[in-house]
Amino acid sequence: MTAGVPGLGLSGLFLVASVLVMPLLRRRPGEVRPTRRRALVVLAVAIAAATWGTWALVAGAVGAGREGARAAGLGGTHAGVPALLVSIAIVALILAVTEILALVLRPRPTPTEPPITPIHRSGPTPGPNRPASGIPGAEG
Amino acid sequence: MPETSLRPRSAVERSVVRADELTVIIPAYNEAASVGDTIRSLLDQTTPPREILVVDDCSTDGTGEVAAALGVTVLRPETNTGSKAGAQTYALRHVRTDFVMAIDADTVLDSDAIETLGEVFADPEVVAASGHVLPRHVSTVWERGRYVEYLYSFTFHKPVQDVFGRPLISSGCFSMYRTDELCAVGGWSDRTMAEDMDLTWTFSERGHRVRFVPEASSYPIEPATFGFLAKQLRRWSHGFVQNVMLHWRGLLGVPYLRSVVAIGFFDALVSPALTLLVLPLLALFVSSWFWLAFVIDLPMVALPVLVGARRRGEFGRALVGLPAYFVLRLVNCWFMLGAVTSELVFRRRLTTYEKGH
Repeated sequence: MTAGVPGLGLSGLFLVASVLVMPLLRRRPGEVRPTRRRALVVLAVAIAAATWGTWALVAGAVGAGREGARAAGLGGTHAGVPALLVSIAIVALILAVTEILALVLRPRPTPTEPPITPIHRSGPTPGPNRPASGIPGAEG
Repeated sequence: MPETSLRPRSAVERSVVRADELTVIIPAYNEAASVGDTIRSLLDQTTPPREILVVDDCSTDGTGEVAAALGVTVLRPETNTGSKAGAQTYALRHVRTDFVMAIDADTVLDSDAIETLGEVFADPEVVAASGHVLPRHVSTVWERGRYVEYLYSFTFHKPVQDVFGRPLISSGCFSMYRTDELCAVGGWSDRTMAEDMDLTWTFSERGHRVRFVPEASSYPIEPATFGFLAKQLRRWSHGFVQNVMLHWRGLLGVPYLRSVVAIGFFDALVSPALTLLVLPLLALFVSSWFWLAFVIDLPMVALPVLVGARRRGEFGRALVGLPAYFVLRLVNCWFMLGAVTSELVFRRRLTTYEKGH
């Protein structure tokens, strides 16, 4: 489910940034194909351009309107700072806090449920899709 | 050079998971209307599984009889297990193959989905993999919104996360696992409302790899009415918050995934209040231009959605569905607000699993 802040697009911004650092990643055998990586880069660049264009368009429209001054926050700036920079700053702050926490607090593995021992794991091999021996009620 | 080396290998040749190495678990509670389609879809696979286990979780509509008539194994616990996780873990004890797959009882697959999904297990570090998900029926506003939401996520979000080897979630409706690793962590836990997220993060914490395979497609039935949607969103939103509270300390040791979760959690904390309260107030009392904020990220959403839809020959359906996505997002915010308030402020955990597809 998506519940992001309209206009800020933090998750989208982080993903676009992720795509841009992809070329720096070492590729492992069997991993995502280069063609798919390239397609993601093209898509990310297109998204960034379209987003920038939309903000510019809205900024122009708001500025031209009579309520332009009052809606300046929507028109591309927050207290004189471009909205995109505000979003980038928020993402950077979240990432910085997370990294600091990872350095300061020692990661502690989450406990898991007790292991499960399969009943038949070493048993005889059945045929494919064996007939319904388990008639409802029979296995309980 | 031998002729065979000149031919491109087929999916069958590439697939690591052989048919006789896979068991499929289908948890089912009152799914008589849909479980037949799911079973037939599995039997029609290019590599059908060795065994299909349907967990008839004390249904009252004849689910078990429908499944048994199709020749699969039906397991029936003495009492209702209380959750999808409980039903799946109940069946896990009966699995005798190296790989196990979980699929919802309302989900059907493309005929080569299992084969394609199995390819990524060539990497011994991969313990779980999930495929592409799209609603089977797309007619109501909720289904249209979900269709666009999934296209957005499965065309852009998940492929990017997959490049970094850390998908946020291996979808519970269609995922494959290594049986040993799944048993080692106790199967699917019912300690949160989102057992698939819990399992994915557990694997990531243990250093295992989880993959997303977009070429393997599945088609669940998504909520068509608000009533069903509400139950599902309540589970998902509470499940996300519960998993963050449970795993945050462990996730700090998982690069990239910790960043994805941190930004998602910030969004969960902030976006509902901003979207449902601040923006409408600004629009009403400062400037009506602020209404635009609700759709200003349309290009960011529409581009990947339309690219994904075009690949599938469903451009028109995606275009028509776009407005519904923005409606669904508002509803998502409402349920996320409820989950954050309940779980973090009032410390009231959601513990009852209400089925809602």
